[in-house]
Amino acid sequence: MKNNEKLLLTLGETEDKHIPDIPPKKKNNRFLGWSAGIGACAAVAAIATAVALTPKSGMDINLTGDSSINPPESEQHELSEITSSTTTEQAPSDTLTDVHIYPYFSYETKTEDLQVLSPAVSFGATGFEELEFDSENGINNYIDNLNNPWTEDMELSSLPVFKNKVYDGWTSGAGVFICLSEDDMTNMAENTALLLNKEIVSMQTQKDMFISRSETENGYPTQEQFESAEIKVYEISAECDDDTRISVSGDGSIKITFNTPVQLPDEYNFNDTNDSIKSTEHLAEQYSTLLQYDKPDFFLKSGYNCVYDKNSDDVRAILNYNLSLTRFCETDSALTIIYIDNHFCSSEYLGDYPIINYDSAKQLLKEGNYITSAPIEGEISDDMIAAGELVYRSGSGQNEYFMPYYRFYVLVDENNSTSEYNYAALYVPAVSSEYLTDMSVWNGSFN
Amino acid sequence: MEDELIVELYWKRSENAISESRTKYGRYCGAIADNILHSREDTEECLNDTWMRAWEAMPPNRPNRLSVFLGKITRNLAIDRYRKRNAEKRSKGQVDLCLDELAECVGTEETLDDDIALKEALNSFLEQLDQPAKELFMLRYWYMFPIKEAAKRCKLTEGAAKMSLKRTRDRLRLWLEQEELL
Repeated sequence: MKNNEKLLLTLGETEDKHIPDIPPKKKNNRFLGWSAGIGACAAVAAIATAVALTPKSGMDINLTGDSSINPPESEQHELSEITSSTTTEQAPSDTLTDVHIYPYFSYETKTEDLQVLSPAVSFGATGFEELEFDSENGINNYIDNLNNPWTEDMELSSLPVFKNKVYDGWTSGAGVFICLSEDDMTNMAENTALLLNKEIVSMQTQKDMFISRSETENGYPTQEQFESAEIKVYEISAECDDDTRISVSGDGSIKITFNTPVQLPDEYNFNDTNDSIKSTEHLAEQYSTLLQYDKPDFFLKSGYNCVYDKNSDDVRAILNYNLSLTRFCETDSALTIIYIDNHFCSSEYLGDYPIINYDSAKQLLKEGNYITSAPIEGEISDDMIAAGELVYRSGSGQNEYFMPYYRFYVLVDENNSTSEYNYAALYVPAVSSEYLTDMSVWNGSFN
Repeated sequence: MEDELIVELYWKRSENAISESRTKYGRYCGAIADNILHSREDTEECLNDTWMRAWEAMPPNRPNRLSVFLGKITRNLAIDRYRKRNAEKRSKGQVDLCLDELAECVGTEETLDDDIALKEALNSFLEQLDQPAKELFMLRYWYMFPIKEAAKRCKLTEGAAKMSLKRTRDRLRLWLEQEELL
């Protein structure tokens, strides 16, 4: 081996004490995604969030009347009833209209006798939520790329809140995201293969300990609980005949890995925003049988090329955007992974809760009533607030409820010498305060 | 979760050790792999291999600094993957750039054949190196950050970082010569 190669490799074996820690923030001239706070922040504040559902065609939401998401009567079924009609012969796409990956999610609109929420949100696995740009306009481009269907001028008086059924299973050290049965996951994998026109050749299950969070002290199981923990299936992996792998997790999320990447035609690439959107549109069209979106819309977020079903109903569009979406991953203009998230199958509808408007939330923000994982101190002034949007935070293990928040992007560190602009994400619950208890105000400290 | 608890999960053969490692150190190890591989797909595969290697390594190992322990595994796997991937083509990645810079220091002959002595010499060299120079040197040649990125992290201009790295490489060459390794 050449001396320079030997030196480079041997440097990797030097004593740990010589290897510096690297700060969580990585400087760059593009959006880097939410920065991970390495080794920091098990921050637990108040309030919930989360993941959601994907209404299918035929569902109906009527905000002025019976605000429910309902499939036609004949199409309502439980998850366990969704079975693949065949896995041995590939059905032509026109026979797949009755095959769905996820069950219909429906509820009767509830606006009275709403339970008061005392939700918990953990930022522990998320780390610092900061965005970094090298120009003042970077945040605006970022917001544009998000293409959030929510707009400030929407006249929304209430929004649905859901209980995250996976949350209780996520405990420190012995938690897995499970709310689906092994049969449910198997059926979903089979239906995904069917819709992809692929044949499953083998199926594997992943098992792990399951300890209910509610049975632990602050989420930390005891040694006895470790030793007596129930073992459950938390993931099904189906290997297909063409080297594609379909993995279904216990929270309903699906990962389709193309071990042989699917090359896009020459005219498609991901070189810039416009090209990425155009290529995502192409992929959504190519996989329309799988996605079954009536009105696909597209956005770019955290390096992912995303598509969701933008319904003409505002609420439904907001829910789908946040809680039911598909992400395409590419390398060198070849599709490598499809992620399908659908939190509706792990949610329980609690009711439509009154919400505050954007201006009220902004006022609360300036008064210090927000939560965040970012180390921010001092008062928030108008000129620090670069933008805001309404979101449902998702994160199966971090949010007890899926509920709306106003997320504000606040300038926290401006360094003109290096042309860098850093923004922290600060959350103000959109649910009216009379339905919230024990809301802690994030104090900017860690651990 | 605290590192000690994660390590304990490995020793208990709980697969949650992997998910906790991925949650806490996925971005950290991902940054190391991405510096070397510049490919999202390769990085993801490298990370998956990292967790499996960690699973095989604990027990018997019980690292004091889990981050560095996992980072070393990632670094080795990424370099190995990089060398295989680029065996038949020229590349302009950070690995090649680092190798070019280190070639100025130790050349490209095949004379460094005493692995143990080299490792000891490197440790003693780093021991006596002043902290700012050492940090920059390791950001460049351990994490393989681009010089511009390493300079930013050390709050230096790119030119100052290049100068510092050159001086450190020169000192390393002298050190290895004194140790009769070159």
